[in-house]
Amino acid sequence: MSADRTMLAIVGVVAAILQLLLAPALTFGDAMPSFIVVAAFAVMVLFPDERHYVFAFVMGIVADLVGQSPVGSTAFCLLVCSFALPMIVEAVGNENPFMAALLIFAGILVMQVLFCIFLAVFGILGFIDGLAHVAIPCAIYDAVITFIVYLVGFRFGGGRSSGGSSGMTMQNIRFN
Amino acid sequence: MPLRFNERESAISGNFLLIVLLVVSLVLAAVYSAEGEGGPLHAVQSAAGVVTSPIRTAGAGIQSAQTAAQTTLDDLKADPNTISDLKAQNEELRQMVSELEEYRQEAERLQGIQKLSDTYGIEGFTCHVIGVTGESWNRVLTIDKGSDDGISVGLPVMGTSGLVGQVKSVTNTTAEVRLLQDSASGVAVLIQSSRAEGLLKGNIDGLLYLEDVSADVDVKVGDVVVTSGVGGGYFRGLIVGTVVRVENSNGQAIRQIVVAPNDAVSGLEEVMVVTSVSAKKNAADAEPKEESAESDSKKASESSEEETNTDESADESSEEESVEDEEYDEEG
Repeated sequence: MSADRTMLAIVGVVAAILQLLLAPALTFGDAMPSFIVVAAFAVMVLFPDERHYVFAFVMGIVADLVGQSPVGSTAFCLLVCSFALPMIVEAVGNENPFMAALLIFAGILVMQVLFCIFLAVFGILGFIDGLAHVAIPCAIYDAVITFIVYLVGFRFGGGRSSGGSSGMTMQNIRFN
Repeated sequence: MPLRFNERESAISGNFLLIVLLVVSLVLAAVYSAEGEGGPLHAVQSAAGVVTSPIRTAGAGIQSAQTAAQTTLDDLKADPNTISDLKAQNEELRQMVSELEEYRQEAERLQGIQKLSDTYGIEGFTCHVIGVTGESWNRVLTIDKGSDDGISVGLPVMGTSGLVGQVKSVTNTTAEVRLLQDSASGVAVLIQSSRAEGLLKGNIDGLLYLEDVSADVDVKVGDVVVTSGVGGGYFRGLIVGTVVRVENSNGQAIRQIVVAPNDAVSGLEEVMVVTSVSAKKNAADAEPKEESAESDSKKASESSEEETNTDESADESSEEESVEDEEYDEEG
C-alpha cells in the first residue's frame, strides 16, 4: 500500500505541475485540459478495487487553489465520482478499452456537470452557458487525455484488471 | 470469516471517510462563497497563486513559444495565394493610409478657411486649386468652380489665413484668380494701426508694395494691412498681410513699404471665393490687435517681435476678435 501512496503522491505532484506549465498552452477554443482531473480519473479507472478518497479530495483542493474556483467545489465533485465510478468499473470491467473510454467520458462529464451546478449555485456562471461553453468541451478534452493515460497506464504501468465480461481486452491489444 | 469482517470494517471506514471529506468539501465551498474577498480561504488561494507564480511564469513562456511555433508553422504552410492576397491587401492598406493622410491635411486646410470665415463673417465658396500658371510673368491660379457655381469676375479670393487675389475671369466650370503678387494686381488697403489708406501692388519680384501712404503716417514693421473697400474691388476688412519692411529714403516723401501676405501662395490647395462679408465682424473696423502680427508668414513672424503693445481699451467686439485672431494665428 505504501508504494501505491508514494505513486499517488508523485502522480499528484506531476499533474499539478503539468496543469500550471502545460495546460494554458494546450487550450483549444474554450477547453483547457485539467491534468488534475485526468490524474484523478485515471486512478479511478486503473485501480477500481480501491477507493482513493483522500487522493481525490487533495487533488480537488489543489485544483481549486490553482484554478481560482470555489475551494472545495472540485474536491466535492471528484469525491462523488471517486465513489461511483470505481464501483461501475468494477462491475463492468476495465479491460475493454471502448467500455473504459465510455466510462471515462461519462464520469468526467458528470463531474463537470456537478461543477457547473456548483458555479451556478454560487452565482459565478450561468448553468447553460457553463455547460455549453466549458463543461462539455472540457469533458471531451479531459476524457481523451484520460483515455490515453489509461491505455499507457494499463499497458505499461500495471493497472489492475477488474474482470467483468469483455470481448476485446487489454491483453489482446498489442502495441507494435 | 475474519477476512470478511476486515473487509466490512474497511468498507465502513471508507464510507465514513468519504462522508467526512464530502462534508468538509461542502463546508469549505460554503465558507468560501460566504466570506468575501478578504476571507481566509481567499487568502490561502492568493498565497497559492503566489507560490505557484514561478511555475506559471515558466508556463507563460511555454505558451508564447507554442504560439510563435504555431504562427511559424501557419506561415510556412501558407499557400502562394494567401501570400499574394496578403501582399495585395498590404498594398491596398498603404494606399488607403496615404489617401487618408491627404484627406486629413485637406480637412486641416478647410478648417483654416472655415475659421477665417467665422472670424471675419465671410461667406463664399470653397474651391480647389486645379492649376497654377507656368510662367513668371503672370501669377494666376485656376480654381474648380465657375459661373455655374455663382463665381463672377472681381470677387476676392481668400486662402487659409488671408487674401490671396481676385477672380479675373470665369468659365462655366472654372475661374482664374489673379494673385496679389501679380504685377497687374492692385488692392486698396488700410493700415490697421494708423487707419492710413494706401494701394497695395504686386510686383514681378513677387513682393507686395504698399504705395501712396503719406510720409507723415507712422508705419511700423508688424502693422496689419487689411482691405479698405475703397473702389469696390474688394470687400472691406479682408486681412491681407503684415508690414515686414519700411524703407525710408532721406528726403523722399514716399517710403517703400513691403508687405508680406498672410497666406503663402505656394502650397495653396483650397481657397475661398468671398461673396459677402458680415458687417458685424470686420477687420477694418477693429482696433489693432496685439497678437495679430504673429501670422503664419515667415517674414511677419520675424518682425512681429518688434511690434509695440497697442491700446488695451478696445471694445468687446474687438476683444472677441483679438481672442479669435489669437487662436487663428496660433493655428495658422
